[in-house]
Amino acid sequence: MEEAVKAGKVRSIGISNFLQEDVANIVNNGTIEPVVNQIEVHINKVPMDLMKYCNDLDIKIEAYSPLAHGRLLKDPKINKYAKKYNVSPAQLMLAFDLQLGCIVLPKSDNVAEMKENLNINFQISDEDMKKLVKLKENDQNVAV
Amino acid sequence: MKFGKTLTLNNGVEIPQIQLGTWLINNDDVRKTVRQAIDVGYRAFDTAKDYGNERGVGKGIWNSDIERSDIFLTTKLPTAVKDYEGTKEAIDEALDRFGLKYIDLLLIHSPQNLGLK
Repeated sequence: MEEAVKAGKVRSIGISNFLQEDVANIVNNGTIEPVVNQIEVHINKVPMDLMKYCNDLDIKIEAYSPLAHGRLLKDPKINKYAKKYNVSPAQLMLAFDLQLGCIVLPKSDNVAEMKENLNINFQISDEDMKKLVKLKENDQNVAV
Repeated sequence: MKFGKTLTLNNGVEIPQIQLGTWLINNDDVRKTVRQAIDVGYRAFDTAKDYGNERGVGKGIWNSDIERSDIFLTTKLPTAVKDYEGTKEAIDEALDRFGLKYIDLLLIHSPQNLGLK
């Protein structure tokens, strides 16, 4: 991979699904530091320790499944916050990841959704971010 | 601001902060999806050898009017590749499938089978 960078075939190299010990292993053994670690990050899945560890090494986090495969878009709490900011649940979930400093990779093959996911022009308050970080799935009365 | 909101990576490269994920979009459909995404403003795409749609993603990029330098493309090595030769070959094969001269960001898909060269 490092040779491919030198040959101009690849501009940057990174890792995915690496836990802290895996990140340490590659940082200690490679000569080019990875630029990103692509992992799953969304409301109710926030691996804070790993994110902080990567951040300290200046490795950015790419968040896959930022919308949790759509599973949480009907979650009443997430909807409550979305309403507060006058945005869709998807936009709330993406803004959450963006404000944690992540690159987000929402998947969609629907043009309206694509537009919605690209236009995140609001800021979640610090106070709400703290609450959202702690939000857990099935926190309340989610349909069985 | 060709990429919209960006972050700066530790090697100085600018990366778009919102990218289109393409997992589970098949190789035939993804070409149209990528082209539509470019039309609404996406400039960055995330795929992987193991998604089986690199060729379609490449075609979507080719079929748009956007310059290659205005696109940020990420792919991932096959998880099964675990050695130096295999990695080298996999990179050339990925470039062939995309029909492109370079990949912006290449990831190791998972730490299992990790080859350190």
